Amino acid sequence: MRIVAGLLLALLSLGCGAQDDDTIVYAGSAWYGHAPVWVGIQKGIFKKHGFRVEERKFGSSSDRINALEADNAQFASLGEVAMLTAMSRDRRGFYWIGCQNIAPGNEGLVAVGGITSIADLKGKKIALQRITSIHLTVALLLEEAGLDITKDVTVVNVTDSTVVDIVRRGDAAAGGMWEPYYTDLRELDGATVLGTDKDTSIYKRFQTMSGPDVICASKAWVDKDPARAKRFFEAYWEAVAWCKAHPTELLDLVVAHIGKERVAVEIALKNFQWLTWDEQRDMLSNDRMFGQAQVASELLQRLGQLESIPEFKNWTRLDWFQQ
Amino acid sequence: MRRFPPTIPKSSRLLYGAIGIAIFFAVWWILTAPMFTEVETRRVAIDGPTGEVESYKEVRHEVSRAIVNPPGLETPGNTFRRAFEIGLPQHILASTLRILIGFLISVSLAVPLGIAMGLFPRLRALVSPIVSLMRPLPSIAWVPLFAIWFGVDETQKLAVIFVGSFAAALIYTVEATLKVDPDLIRAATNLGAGRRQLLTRVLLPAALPNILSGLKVVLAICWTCVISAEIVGGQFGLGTLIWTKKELSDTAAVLVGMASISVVVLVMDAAFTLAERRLVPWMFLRRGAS
Repeated sequence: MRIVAGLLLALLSLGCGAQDDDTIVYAGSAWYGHAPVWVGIQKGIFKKHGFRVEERKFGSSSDRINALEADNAQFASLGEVAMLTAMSRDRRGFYWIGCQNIAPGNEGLVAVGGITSIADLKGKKIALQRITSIHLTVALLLEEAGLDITKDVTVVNVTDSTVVDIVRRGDAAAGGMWEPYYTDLRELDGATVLGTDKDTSIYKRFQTMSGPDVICASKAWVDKDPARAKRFFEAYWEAVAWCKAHPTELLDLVVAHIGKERVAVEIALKNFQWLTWDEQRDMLSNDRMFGQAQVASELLQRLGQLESIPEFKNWTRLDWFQQ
Repeated sequence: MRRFPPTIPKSSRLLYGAIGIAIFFAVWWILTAPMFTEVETRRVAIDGPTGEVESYKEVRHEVSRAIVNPPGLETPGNTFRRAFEIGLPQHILASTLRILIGFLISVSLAVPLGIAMGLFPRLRALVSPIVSLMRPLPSIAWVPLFAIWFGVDETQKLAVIFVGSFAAALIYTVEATLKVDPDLIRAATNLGAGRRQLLTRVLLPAALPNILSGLKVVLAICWTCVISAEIVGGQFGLGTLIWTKKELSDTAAVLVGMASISVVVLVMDAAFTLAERRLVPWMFLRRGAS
């Protein structure tokens, strides 16, 4: 009986892809912001530094936070909005390590059916994914046009490619999404781009997206061996630097990885500014990410998504970066 | 000899039920109420003269701790309070209406077809393979496809409820029809009953109790369908509430949404039993006699 139980458990672990203790699990998705990990694995950068990394796909940023807190994954790239909502709930099982890229212009609001201005959206439906960067982008774009996202329009909460399907069917007058789905939205018949995250007050003030990508790590994993964790992130940022130095090779790698059309990936990747290890200290400052996170938190609170504004600096590890 | 199955008086049943619920809440409270304090070391960022982070200090922070802390699980009191802060009636109403409409569409097609399949073996042989293919599919599997076909408005949600419940309603009806005592049919035929009389006076009344029992289960299945359907595009609905609040780690609101489903299902179940008493009173007389 014990042998059978042991065999079943072994099969279960195999089936669930259980990793050994040394494997560092990365929580990712199909978004281009995960490219440094794909590069780090494929180009052997992690291996060179003595790390074995395995990527697992997690649908939403909040699921990636859950994985980090449970130490099911050791690091993740996720949307800043999910990180801020977790911090505001006083969830302390993760660190905010840094920001690997800024990619403004890769998400936007697209209308169909003859709508050519944001003001025309009053009383209409907008399809987007709530509590994400695009939610903030659309809220800010509407605000600048004198509309209130909570009163003047109806938000239809849908994810990923469903936004495109909904707008294509005419069930919503406009849709907001990030790449690769933003390209699909723009390719719809009669599509008009009403604005992107580059048109928001956040971009004008901080030159960041409304909810940039952030790199977070499991607190349990970092605290177990902080020196090793720091060495690992130096290796990660070496992969980021590779992305910055090899745009053509990166394009080939991303196209092969996500199976999207080369032209669409090329346009999206052109908007990416890869931020190196040396740039982290400047990024995590009041003029950039911290100022932006404060404004984003205040907006999220106005939208009823945050009860309190988190002291996000307390989750950081700026002691790792050069002053 | 002791009666089998053993029973207890109704008053004792109620008392034991109340004790069971009290134990449930007591365990919940024990798990979540602050029981002890713990000194935790927290990193606090220290800003320098420029306002930028200059260093960190470790601050000893005394925190009240429970066995399970939020956001894992909130106390019963906090969870109960949350129910009044999240516009619960609108969510319950939206889901319940979807369930009732979807259930009625499903039943109005499945019951006649199920009876016909019970009566005509060729029709049964024709339709059964399709039903066998549809039956194992969980309702959530239909959600992406229906979002593309029907959008994310009510049509999509009703379609998910329909496909998720139709096969079960059909199978229960076919089984109920096949279970009708052949002696009843034979006796009625010998007494000169025509086809229509056989159907309306013998077969339907005999199959109805089992059909209704099956439909009660189908009604509960409809709830799993509506929660799947409301993952996308919902403004209101308990599924929308649960999925949205999960993104915000608002476990109290998620639990309120889940508890609301249980309560509404219980109310619907009671209403269904009342309807059963009206439609098949002889079944309850028989149960009472036994």
